Amino acid sequence: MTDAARRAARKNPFDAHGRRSLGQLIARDFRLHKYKYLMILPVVVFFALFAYKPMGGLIIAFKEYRPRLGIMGSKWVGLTHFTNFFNDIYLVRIIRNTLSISFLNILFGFPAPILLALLLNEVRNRRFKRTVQTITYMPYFISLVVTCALVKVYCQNNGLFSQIAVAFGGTKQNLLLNKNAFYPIYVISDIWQQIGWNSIIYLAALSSIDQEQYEAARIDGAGRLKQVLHVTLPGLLPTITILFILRMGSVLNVGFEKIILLYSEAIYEVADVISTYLYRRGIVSSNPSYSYATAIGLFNSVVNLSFLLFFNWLSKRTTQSGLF
Amino acid sequence: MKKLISLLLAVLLTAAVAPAFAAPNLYPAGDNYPMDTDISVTWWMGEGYVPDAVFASADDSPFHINFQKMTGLKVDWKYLPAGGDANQAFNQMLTEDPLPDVIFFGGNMMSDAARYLEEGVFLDLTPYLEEFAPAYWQWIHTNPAYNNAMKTDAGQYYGFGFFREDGGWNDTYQGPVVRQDWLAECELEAPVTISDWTNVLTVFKEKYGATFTAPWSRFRQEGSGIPGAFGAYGTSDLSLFVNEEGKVRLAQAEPEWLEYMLQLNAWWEAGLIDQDVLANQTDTEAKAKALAGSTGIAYTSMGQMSNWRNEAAQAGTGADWVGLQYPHGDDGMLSMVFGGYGIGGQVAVVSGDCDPAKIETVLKALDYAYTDEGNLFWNYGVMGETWEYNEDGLPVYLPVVTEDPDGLNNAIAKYGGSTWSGNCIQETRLLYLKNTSASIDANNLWFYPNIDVASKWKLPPGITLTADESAENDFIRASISTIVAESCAKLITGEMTAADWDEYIGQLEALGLYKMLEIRQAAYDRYLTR
Repeated sequence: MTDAARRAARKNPFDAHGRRSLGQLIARDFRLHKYKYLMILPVVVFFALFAYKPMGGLIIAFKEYRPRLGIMGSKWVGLTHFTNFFNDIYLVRIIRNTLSISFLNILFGFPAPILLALLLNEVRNRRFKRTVQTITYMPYFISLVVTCALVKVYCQNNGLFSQIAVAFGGTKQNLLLNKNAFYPIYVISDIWQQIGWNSIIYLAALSSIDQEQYEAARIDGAGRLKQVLHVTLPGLLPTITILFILRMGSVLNVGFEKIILLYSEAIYEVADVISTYLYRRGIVSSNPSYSYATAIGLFNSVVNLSFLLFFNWLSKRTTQSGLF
Repeated sequence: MKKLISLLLAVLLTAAVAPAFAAPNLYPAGDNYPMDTDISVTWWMGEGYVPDAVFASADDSPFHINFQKMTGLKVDWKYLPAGGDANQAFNQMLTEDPLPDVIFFGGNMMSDAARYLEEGVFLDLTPYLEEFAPAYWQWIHTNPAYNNAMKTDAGQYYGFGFFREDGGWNDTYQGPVVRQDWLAECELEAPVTISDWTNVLTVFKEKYGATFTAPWSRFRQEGSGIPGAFGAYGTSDLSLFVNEEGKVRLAQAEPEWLEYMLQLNAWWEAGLIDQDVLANQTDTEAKAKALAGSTGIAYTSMGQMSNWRNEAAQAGTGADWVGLQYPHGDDGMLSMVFGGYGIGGQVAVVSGDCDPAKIETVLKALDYAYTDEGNLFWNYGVMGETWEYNEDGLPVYLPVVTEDPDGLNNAIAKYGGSTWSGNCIQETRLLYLKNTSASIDANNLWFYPNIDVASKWKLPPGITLTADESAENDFIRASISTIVAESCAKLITGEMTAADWDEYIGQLEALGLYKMLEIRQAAYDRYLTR
């Protein structure tokens, strides 16, 4: 190759169709933004080490894993664990419970912080607003174990709720043994604990809405409610959408710690979810089946991913905004 | 009445017999210890003699320091930090390369011994044991049950077990307790039969608003609760038992169990059982109930009963908790009580990665616990430092133990290794020194009159499964145990009734009940022919 040709090639980084190859793009971009690349490096390393490398371990879902034999040394069993899982008599029940708890939690738990943020936004007294904010996000910092211990005490046979029920002519009972009470207990205590913390992001989004829009609305004669409906909410919508899609990506990840702390055999029928079942089968038993648990976990992740992709697609079709 | 008299007689007899300690005839340690050696090993322990939480590390723990002094072996102790999950830690340890030289734990070590030998986790000790561990060899040959428990079906010895001197007195460490002061106040006799129980519970309910309570984690346990009065053998946790014909059966698939559940349901409906029990009531929660005076008859452990008594005395409530005989059926039925063979499920093994040059020394160090001198050390600590002989020639603790600011129970565990479990023989006298007299009386009452039914129903420890059996058994067991525990709760609350019984049995069968029993039966039969 002559010098001239080489120079031409260097000058013209496009291929025959006038496009750059990916490698060229990155190389060029790297030259331009060296330091930004350096900044993102720790994040890439983090994901490579802690999110992608462990994925290799999923291989044990197809093996009969024995700790001593190691991941590579254990015997292959193909899809046995998956067939066992799909034939498991508890399969339907744990999926149903997981979805029920998750959807109820989204239905009531997702709008709650938005509502709180909107209400706080309307409060003009800054001191009052701050106080309310602090009080509502305080529970977030209480350890879940303590929260659940409180819930257990309140729900006891002689507990607070039981006594209230008796005062109104009801009967004494341990609410945590009542199948119908479990979902409300779960969802309400969740809202109580999360509402303040989750509203912070919405309050931040609210503060970025252009004040001129409110002015314009007022000039057009919009009252407080109309302002909320036509300015505040549309301003919040992108944040809401993104958080909603992310939330849908973890539909099957019901917080199992809380369920484990609250449930008992008497209400397995409504309270046993995928993660608690997996925990009992794969982790705490004296003969843990890591492979079986991994198979369930893999299934869980696949379902979560499909939910995420579906709602992202739906969101892009309807609101033109999505994650990717 | 006859039953009562024989019961009384038994109690009287045992009260007279109990304090006479038959010191086990152990192999003399002679001048063999401490050994003169430079060998050092790594030693992992998942339970039992894990250093007390008050010590930053094993290097500060008297027992672990003294063990090295007494045996001459240098040890790098590895163990699970306080609050960790032992099973997980054990499995994680198994992925280490090389494995620690010595491993002490329970879990599935004994039942899966064949598999661990095959995988090289355990070293086959058969060629070495008689020569290098003569004291242990002598000890396990004092009782065929010990010898059988400590080897596989193929006759391979793999470890050093945990034994209770009295053959199971302390294996029956839980049972019913009652408030003696209330019984006296109501002029009631201690209830003996289930009808008596109903009667006393009803009186306590009317007079004090009190119910029957228990920590569920104890009541539900395999072989725990009060199933014996009904001819049943388990409560909520999947319980296997051996029937009169030597057949392995599932307790929760027998009609007697249904009867038991229906009685609990009757008490539940009548408001005689504390509802919170089923919501996984813990020891702490049950203690709070006992202190608040909301229970008059309960089911708990002797250690917990001591706590109840102590705290009641501090609070000045006048609650006088004492042990209560396990209830009998109205026809005198008592098929079982909670108990065991005096052989623990824990074992110390030499790992397959142990340097062959070290094996002799390691085995001798492990053997120390089963010598006359080593046995005293494992139980009470170093003579002259923590204990001395009294005028009757029996070990008693010195003030360093009895006046320890952390309390007697913790102090004993700081200097000895046999308090909870270890590769050693736990002396009954240690337990007598450790517990209050009311607890000891309770334990005597639960154990001695029922000694015939304390363990014969139980599958002996040390039964081993093959790799295939183990995998299949685990899978079936996991499914069945969920349905059993759930049905137990539902039968008690009345959500499930006798009418649902056939359907329930059908479900168990569909889940592989017979296959599981067949596997366990085969393993038991192999054990018997060892």
